[in-house]
Amino acid sequence: MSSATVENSQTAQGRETIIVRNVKKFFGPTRALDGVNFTARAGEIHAVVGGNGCGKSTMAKVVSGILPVDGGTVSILRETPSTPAESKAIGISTVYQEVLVADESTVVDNIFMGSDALFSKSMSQEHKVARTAELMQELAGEPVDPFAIAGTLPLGLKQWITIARALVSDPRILILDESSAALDFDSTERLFAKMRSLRDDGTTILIVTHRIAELIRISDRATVLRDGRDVGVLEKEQITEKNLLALMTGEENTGTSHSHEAPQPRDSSLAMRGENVTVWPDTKPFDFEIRRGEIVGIAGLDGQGQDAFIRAVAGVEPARSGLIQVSDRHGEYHAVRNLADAVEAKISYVSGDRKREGIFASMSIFENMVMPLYREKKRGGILSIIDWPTLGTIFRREADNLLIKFGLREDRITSLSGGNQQKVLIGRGFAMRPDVIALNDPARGIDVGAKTELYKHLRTFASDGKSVVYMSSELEEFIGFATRVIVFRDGRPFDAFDGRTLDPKRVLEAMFGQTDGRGLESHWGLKPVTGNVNTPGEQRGARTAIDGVKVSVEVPKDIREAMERRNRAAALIPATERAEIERSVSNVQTHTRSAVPVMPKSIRIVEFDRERGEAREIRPGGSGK
Amino acid sequence: MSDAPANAGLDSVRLAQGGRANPFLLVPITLFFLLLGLAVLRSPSLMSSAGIGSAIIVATPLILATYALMASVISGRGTVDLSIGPLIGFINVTLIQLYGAGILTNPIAIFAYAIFIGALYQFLFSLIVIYIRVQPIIVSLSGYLALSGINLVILPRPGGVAPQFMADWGLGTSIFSPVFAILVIASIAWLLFTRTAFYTHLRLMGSDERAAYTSGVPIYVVRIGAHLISGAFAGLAAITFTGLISSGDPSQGTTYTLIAVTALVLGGASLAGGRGGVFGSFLGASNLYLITFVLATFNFGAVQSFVTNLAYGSILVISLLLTLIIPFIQRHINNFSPLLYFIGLGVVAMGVILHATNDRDPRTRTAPVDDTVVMQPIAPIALEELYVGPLEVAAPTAMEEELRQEAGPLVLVALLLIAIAVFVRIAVYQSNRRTIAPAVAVVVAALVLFGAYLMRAGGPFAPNNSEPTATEESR
Repeated sequence: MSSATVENSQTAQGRETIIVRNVKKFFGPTRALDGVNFTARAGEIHAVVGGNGCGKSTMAKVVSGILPVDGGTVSILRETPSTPAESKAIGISTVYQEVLVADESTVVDNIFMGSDALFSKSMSQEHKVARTAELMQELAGEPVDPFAIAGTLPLGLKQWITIARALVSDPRILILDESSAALDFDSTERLFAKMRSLRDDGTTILIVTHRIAELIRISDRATVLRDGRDVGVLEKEQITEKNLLALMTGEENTGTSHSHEAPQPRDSSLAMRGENVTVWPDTKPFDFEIRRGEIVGIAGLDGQGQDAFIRAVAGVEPARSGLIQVSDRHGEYHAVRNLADAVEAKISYVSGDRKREGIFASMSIFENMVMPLYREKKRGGILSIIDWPTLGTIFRREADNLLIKFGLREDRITSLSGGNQQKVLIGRGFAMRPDVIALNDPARGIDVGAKTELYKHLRTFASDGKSVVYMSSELEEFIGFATRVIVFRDGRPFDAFDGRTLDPKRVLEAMFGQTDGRGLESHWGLKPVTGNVNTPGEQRGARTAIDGVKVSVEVPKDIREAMERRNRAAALIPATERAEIERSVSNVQTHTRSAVPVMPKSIRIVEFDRERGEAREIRPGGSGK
Repeated sequence: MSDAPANAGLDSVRLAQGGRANPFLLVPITLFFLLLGLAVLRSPSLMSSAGIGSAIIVATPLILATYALMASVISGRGTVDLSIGPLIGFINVTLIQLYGAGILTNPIAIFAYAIFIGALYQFLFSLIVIYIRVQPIIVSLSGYLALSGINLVILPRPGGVAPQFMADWGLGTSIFSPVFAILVIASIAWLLFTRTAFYTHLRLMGSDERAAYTSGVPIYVVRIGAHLISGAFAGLAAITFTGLISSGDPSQGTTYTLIAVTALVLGGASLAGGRGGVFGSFLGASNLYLITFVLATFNFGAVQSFVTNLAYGSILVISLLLTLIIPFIQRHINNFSPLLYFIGLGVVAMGVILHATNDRDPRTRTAPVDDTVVMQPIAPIALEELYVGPLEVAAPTAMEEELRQEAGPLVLVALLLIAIAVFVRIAVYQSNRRTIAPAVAVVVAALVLFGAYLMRAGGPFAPNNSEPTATEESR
């Protein structure tokens, strides 16, 4: 090892304990680590930071010895552990992101998991119990019965059990992978105190986190990763938000999608809207609107509620509270409460988690794509014979559109590469001819070419007046693609950005909570149509002009406001009732004014009609113009 | 039971987080005593030396088969060994054939052979599960089919003779039979095993294999060990099964698979792994035996076996439905002690047993009553008849008075026992020690054994007032 001489020259305190040289780790086509270099010394708290999918968790797993590397060298305390047992033996303790607790066993057994030899105990049971009680009191700040069954404890305490498990073996290297995720503020303070005392005893502590504020307070050094490479090491005094974010975003701007212009909606008609929606418990409810013909990007750090939001939009999982509605082609609103509603309202959902909620691994490519259409495309009345020729046509069309590469359509879907599997799933979403398509990180693990195709396809889709809700963990995807980007943080929208002037750096700052969140109120914010009444009218006027709703121009402001309020209220009354009203009035309409087509906005006139007098006055006024 | 709310209260004072509650034994224990009471009321002959002896003989193979399943199911991955029945059959028929051929004659060699074959089969099983990564259920199903066939090849029809020393095991005339000794030794062996680090590893792995692996537990070795233990239990089950039927039978053993799995589930083990124990397995298997026993006292004639299977199925479903209330119990009772519950119900059941065996029908008693009738005072009886009239067939005789005199201290002792148990339970919880269940279990087991010794045929209490009615009725 060339670094041996370097190590000798250093003091015991600053001895390098972890040396990672040019390590590569691939998961299929994904390059999780692509030549990363990293060193950590004894007696320091070293942070590994980076955006989503930059390889920081992979790095923690490599260092703790549970992932074999594909290239490069890993030297930890001058050894290279390859199993958790080996790494434990040389003094490495790791707290993983998942809360790994054996629910059926007692707290004391859980904490001393792996500390015993196969047949003999490392210390007496009494000693273990005493140590457990003491440690849990110190860490959790409250007494925990050492003999309690771990499954009966709340999540926060289970997290403490995993941390305590790492601490009981007096590790020389402690790796904490997002370990404070389930902990509240006080608990984090106690964890930090414990970390500092360990550091002073000469332990190397590696923390992997995306909570910038925390790591600035606690860490002595920080290594920033981007796209599986290390892009810089910051010393204690250099660790600031600005420096970290600068390194994390990088200065260069690459990407083919830059040349494209993000699609803009042609009018202000809404495809979906939500009122008083919450996706997490105890968060402030928010409203949102999605126009026809736009691509709404949803961003956020992992697990900040954006996933729950997109699932709520697609009706996969209901929102915790609030009402999400989708507009049909006649401008009527229907609530989306479950998947059946969503299918009815032509919303389709594409998940990026192919294995869990996407493919049917044992079925063919063809079946995987056209599966949801079986019920729709059937013949023979009650016999429900599936119309294979039609489905074949649809399959060919979607496969051509998405440029899916496959051998025979009867081949199993698992014979395709990940990217092509994802395309099949996206094709399934499009095959249902949706009005709104919600994509939950669909580009995860697919190659650049496939991504470009996907963007092109979605852009075409949006330009047909359909809406796209696109969640991604990679910010670069939104550039030149999303009409606007909404950033989620702590379970609700935190900030919003205009897609035309999208700056990834600003978005990243918003993801880390470093912006003021003013974007939410703007006309590219949560409510682009109704939310910006006070902004200069040109935006609104420009859109409504095409719409042909001259009513809005003619009506005095106070009446118009009353009308809008009424509209909002009317959307909440049951659909059947409204349908009835609408039908009767549209009949009247065809009698009186056959020239005017049935506009999506007709419902507004209908509602207006209920206040007899004004409505009659206004309509001739509108037509006379 | 009374300790539970008391402990919950204490718990809130101490503000310690978490519950030790293990209420999964609640249903099996309750069912056990319900069935035991019912069985004794239907047929008091169960509570005689011969009755208990034959019960042990019949139930032990099932109990040990359940132990075998339990050992492997704790290891997780849904390792329910369906091949346990054919495996018992396989050891049985090979044992009979080898004995017939004069190769295996020594008792020690026979035991060693049975345990070795069981362990060897389970060892191969575990290797396939670990290294070829086949689902355990598939492996066990293949084993079931393969062994069922092989058994018929080895011994096409029931026959053969069991080794000489086993021949009289199946009579079941006494409680203290060799089969009983095997059962006790197997149970104690498991209880001792639960004190080892290996057992802790086994439970941790069964509960969350990933957590165990990342913490450095050698999961492959632990899994192989679990299977070896399971195989040893299977070997013992085969020995007792051979003792029960005293011959070889290629197909009878196969029936154990379904009953043993039922018993396992009924005993509160988690098929997902991590939870299970001899106490629950014993109760589960005993419950199934008692169901058969109770149903046998009703005469269903030709449909007897259908009714029995119906009862197995419905009781299993009902007991699983009852486990739905367990989360509720866990929320409210932090410190449920199955052992204390067992003792509490046991005292009640003992009362039922004493009533059934002694007070059932005074007219059948052989003890002379003529000379004591004269001495019987009138007035107090009238008063007591107000209470006991509807229940008692006859007024208490002097001998019954004497019995009652004897019973007074017994009742006191029973109440004292419960009080002490509650007190000890609270004390243990307060002192932050894990449990003294092993000590209590030893004491209780010693008491039960002592009682069994007293009532065994030829014991000091057997010929006179305690048992004669029961033994007579059984004839």
